[in-house]
Amino acid sequence: MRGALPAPLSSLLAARDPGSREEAWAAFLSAYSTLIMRVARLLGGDADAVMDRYAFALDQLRRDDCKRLRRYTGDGRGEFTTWLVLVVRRLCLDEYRHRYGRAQSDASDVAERHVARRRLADLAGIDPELAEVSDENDDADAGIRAVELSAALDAAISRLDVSDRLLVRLRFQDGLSVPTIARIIRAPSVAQLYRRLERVLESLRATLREAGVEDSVP
Amino acid sequence: MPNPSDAFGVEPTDHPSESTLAAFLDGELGTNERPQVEAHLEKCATCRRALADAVDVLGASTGAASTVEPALSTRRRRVPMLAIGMVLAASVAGVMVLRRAPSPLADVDESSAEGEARLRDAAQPTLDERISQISVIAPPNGAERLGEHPSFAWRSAKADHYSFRLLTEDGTALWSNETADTTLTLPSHVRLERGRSYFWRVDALAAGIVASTRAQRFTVSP
Repeated sequence: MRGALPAPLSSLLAARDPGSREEAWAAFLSAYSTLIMRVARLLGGDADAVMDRYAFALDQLRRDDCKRLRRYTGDGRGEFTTWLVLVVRRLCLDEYRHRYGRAQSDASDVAERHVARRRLADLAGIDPELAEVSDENDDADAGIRAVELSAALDAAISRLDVSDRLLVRLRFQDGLSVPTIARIIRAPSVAQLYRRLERVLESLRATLREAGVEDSVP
Repeated sequence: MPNPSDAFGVEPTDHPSESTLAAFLDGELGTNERPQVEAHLEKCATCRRALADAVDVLGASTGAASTVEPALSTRRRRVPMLAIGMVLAASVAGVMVLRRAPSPLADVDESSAEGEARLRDAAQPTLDERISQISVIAPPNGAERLGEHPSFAWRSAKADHYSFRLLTEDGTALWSNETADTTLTLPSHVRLERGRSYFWRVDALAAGIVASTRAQRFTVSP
């Protein structure tokens, strides 16, 4: 059972008559509109686009006697503000997709993966160009070697435990800063996370060496 | 041609609820559930992006014992440190203070680099899971053109109560309040002058631990 709800939320959910609902909604907005607006800005666009998203999110939050907000009282965990940000973000994405369709193409997904691979291979001691696989690679031997190196890197990553693989993805696939990752995974400190990251990379290097990957020479 | 869905591969489609992700971020998942969510996140860029966005929006500092924001160093030079006094001097230095009660006031010169380092070192061993650090949601530091009765919001898991303080620009205490809530609106009898700047800060208390926001500055609309 969760603790006491924030006052603006509990007042809103407890309001019975239209007058008190309006008053409680105004108080709720007073408390959380800045936060909701910041979420609406996450997806970019001009002021009109942001306001459309913001208005959509508010409408959805208030719809059906605040049905979505009531879910927090049922199964909501974490701080209300954390939950609210995630819910509003989902609503904003719904509005965005409804208006513009899916934002990312498969081609850009693949391009992002290649960039992530470059970063990781570079840090793990592999020539990033060889860890990449290029369709335009004319050198057959180098191409084969690149595939082998790529497979070795994948195998090395797969040997990490799930927490370390998550760390690798947050850092090298998503390109997040170490302080941001520390907040996401609740690391005891940023410095500790830097040390852990270095240990993970060293582990990757060791696994690659075991697999016969000593350097980047094909 | 290699398969692009390798170690950086295909995403799952059954995502955890926002409730679960919020609990993950706030460290409220149990030892059984957290590894499951980590395993999902490891495969799911969509959920990782959601968490990164949430951290960005919330300006949260969960986990990191102290965070010094470079931008605040510049701001600090513009603030009349001596006039503001020890409480604000401790806060404006840009250090998240986390230490044992009883006194939330600084006994270390946090405005110095040495003081910052000492606080960071001192804070690390005393980091207590019973209370996470406190961070500001609104208004953001340096906010301008606010109304005469602004609302304040912050976040900090599992605090017993919060001590809110409002100070004038010269450090004079204007109003304070104790609350169990993480939001607060200035009552009508507290009159803010148009065009003037003020500071506010919140101390969170739980189980003998104190976490404080930095002093947050805002300016009322002229």
